Amino acid sequence: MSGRYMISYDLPPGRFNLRAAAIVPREGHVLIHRSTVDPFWTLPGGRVEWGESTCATVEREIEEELGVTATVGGLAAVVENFFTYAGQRCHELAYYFTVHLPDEFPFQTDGSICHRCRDGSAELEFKWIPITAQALDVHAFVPAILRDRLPALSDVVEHLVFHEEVEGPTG
Amino acid sequence: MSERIVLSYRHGVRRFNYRVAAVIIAEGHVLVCREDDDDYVQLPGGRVELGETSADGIEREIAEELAMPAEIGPMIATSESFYRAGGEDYHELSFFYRAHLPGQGPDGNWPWLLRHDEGHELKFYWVSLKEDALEAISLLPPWLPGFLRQEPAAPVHVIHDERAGV
Repeated sequence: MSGRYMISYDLPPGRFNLRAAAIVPREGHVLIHRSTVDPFWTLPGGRVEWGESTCATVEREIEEELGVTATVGGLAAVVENFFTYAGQRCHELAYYFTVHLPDEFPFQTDGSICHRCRDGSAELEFKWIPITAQALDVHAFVPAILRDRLPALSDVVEHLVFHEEVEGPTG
Repeated sequence: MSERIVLSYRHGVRRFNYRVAAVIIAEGHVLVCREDDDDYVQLPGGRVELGETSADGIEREIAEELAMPAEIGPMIATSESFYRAGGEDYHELSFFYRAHLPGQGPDGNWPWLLRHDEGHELKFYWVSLKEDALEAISLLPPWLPGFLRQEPAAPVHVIHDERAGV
């Protein structure tokens, strides 16, 4: 059992990916992030490692990227996402959890960047935006299927399937 | 993605598996399947293919395994399982769908149906949801009997970890 590896498999006909991400709600806002070179925003999270539960992935990614210990709640949504990225067909399963952060993590509602960190060669930036379809649209939030759903997610697991034939980011 | 690629990968002893299964209940009995000489039974189902939705996967698996008309209902559970079997460590994702076989149910035959699929002998049984009949026939994964007897109204997320020290 030496070495960590991510559940991401490249095969001749396409790629399979397993991701987990955090929905962090606070006073009508939600935390989003992006790589500074990307035009689109996503929920904080990352790829699941082999042998790791999706909840543990979210805990690890929050610790690595935000430097705080998250309280991971229930599964809010599981999305089967089919898209093409950089000419490659992708089949992605993504698990979204409701997460609470400790009060020490900065909360700003003026749209400014509240946190930055490095992830390999990428610089990541985080901010809080209102949980509305309009605000998510303005930030080119992906996956787009969650723009309408995020404001309405409850504690019931929502199961969504999304087929996108045009080029799209993986987040 | 015309080529069929099953979502099951092995790195040394570490295997990742992505499965779908059907919860088919009729007259207080659930349909289970024994493959070859396994000392346990599972719900009907199989591995999802690359590029295939889980819903299409269960429809295909039911068609292949049972070869009879089926109505696929909602997803009722998604699970992540960590266990050891056949010398391999498994990290397995599963989606469970409610399904219905019109006009079919327990008829007193044991097994109810004998099929052959991909070189395996499949024996199907209708097993009572009452008492511990599902445990007695060793339905896996082990959280299923309790779940099936008290199926929640909304989909649930189950993490089942058999690894030592967890």
